[in-house]
Amino acid sequence: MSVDLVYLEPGAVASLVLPEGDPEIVPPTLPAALARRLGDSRADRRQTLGAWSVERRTAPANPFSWSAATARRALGRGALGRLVSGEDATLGAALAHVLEHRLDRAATGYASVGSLGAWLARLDAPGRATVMSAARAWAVSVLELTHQMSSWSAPEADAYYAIDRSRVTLRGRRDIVTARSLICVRAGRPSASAGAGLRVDLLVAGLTHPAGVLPTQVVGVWPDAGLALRLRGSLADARRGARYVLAAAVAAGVAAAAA
Amino acid sequence: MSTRIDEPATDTSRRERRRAESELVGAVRAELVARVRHLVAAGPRPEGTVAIALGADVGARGVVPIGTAPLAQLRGALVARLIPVVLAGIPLRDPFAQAVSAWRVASPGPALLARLRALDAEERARLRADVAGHARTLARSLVELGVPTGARISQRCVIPVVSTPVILVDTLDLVWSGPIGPQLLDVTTSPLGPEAATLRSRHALAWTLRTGRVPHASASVSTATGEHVADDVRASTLAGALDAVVAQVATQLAGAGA
Repeated sequence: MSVDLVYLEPGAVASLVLPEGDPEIVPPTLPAALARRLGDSRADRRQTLGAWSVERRTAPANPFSWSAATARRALGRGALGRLVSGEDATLGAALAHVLEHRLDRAATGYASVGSLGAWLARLDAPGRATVMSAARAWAVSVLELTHQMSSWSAPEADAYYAIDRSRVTLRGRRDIVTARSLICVRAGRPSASAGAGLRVDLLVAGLTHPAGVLPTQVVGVWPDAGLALRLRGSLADARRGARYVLAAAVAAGVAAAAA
Repeated sequence: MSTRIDEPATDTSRRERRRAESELVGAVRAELVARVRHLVAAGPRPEGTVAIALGADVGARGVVPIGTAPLAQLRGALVARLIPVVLAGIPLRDPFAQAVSAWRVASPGPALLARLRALDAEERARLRADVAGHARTLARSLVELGVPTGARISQRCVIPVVSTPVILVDTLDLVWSGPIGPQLLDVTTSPLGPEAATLRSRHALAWTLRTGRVPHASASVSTATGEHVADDVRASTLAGALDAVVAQVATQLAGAGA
């Protein structure tokens, strides 16, 4: 149940995601227990809990707003997906397509007022250049992590799991996926509770897998800090992730504290 | 630590180079951790984290601090925001307005934004002219230096020194992959003084610690004069920067414990 700390260097992440051991399976009792604890929540609106809420234990201090920093991952990840699938030959072309797609959705009324596409549509050329430059930098950082990695994909979205009979949705981050591993790229530096966040990502990966299969490794990478943390994907760690989720739900007022 | 890591031509020699680079990076990381741990153990344990801004010490010695030269601070922030605009090939028709647009998207700090709003008409006109002049030099310099359109901009380094409360903080204006390794470029609106060399070596250290790759070159360009200086990054460059950063940590820890 330990978390390994590794310095980043070329090939470091590839060495962390080598297939090791047999994956463990989330038993049906685990989601059932979560539903039992959170199923009677009386939250006035749907709450999304994930690594962020577990690590911070509080709601964000400021309401969400789009900026280059908040948009770069969504755009960069979309571009990586197109690049890896072969839809585009270069990262530049992939980024241009992703931007065009977002702007098209905004122009045709498919994007909601607060969406990324609607925000991008309101920006002038210098603003868009700034956002796309941040997205490119993010994508290049991720591509560097895949150095010496033989097979990987870039999911279009994070993993979401709605807990039965509750107003709680769990969110698991995932930026790179290999056959058995999950890699989550984070900004800044790892906090003291980064391991808790990785356990939540592990839990959600297991809950959203059709057969409940857990990744054998979850790797959190903090490129700004030059560090990576590897968590081996055990059921015990997934259970700990569930306990962190419950604690975050209590802190967010979504669930009552256990008697 | 006095050898230069050059890019060899063959696969075998490339592997050798990578091995030498990996050993050098490992040695730099190990020495940094050992020396900072020693400093932390020798004094009273600081409360909370101790952030060491790799550019700040240079600023304290050679550059006017924030607050005393508001127009210079604003000019620097705005000119930096024009880098992605120039690299995207957008013509600089009104550099001041374009920089403000780009700056807002990048979530500027509230203090600097408030300072921009508080400028009177005279100050704003001066700043507008100033930014336009620097923007022309910036655009010309980036072309002359061959900075590719895909260069990474404003790369943050937030590097914890493991097992200590110390964090090294830096921001690199431009980073790109050259034919023989990463290249760093610091863009400053001041003329290049002696402190620019110190800053170049610190940027090289920060990038080495962040990525585990030793940059091929670390350069500075002044949008005030158009002057450009590039240093090859050698093991001795990193050793010098490491000594300076450890000294800064010692000073800051002493201040925190006082």
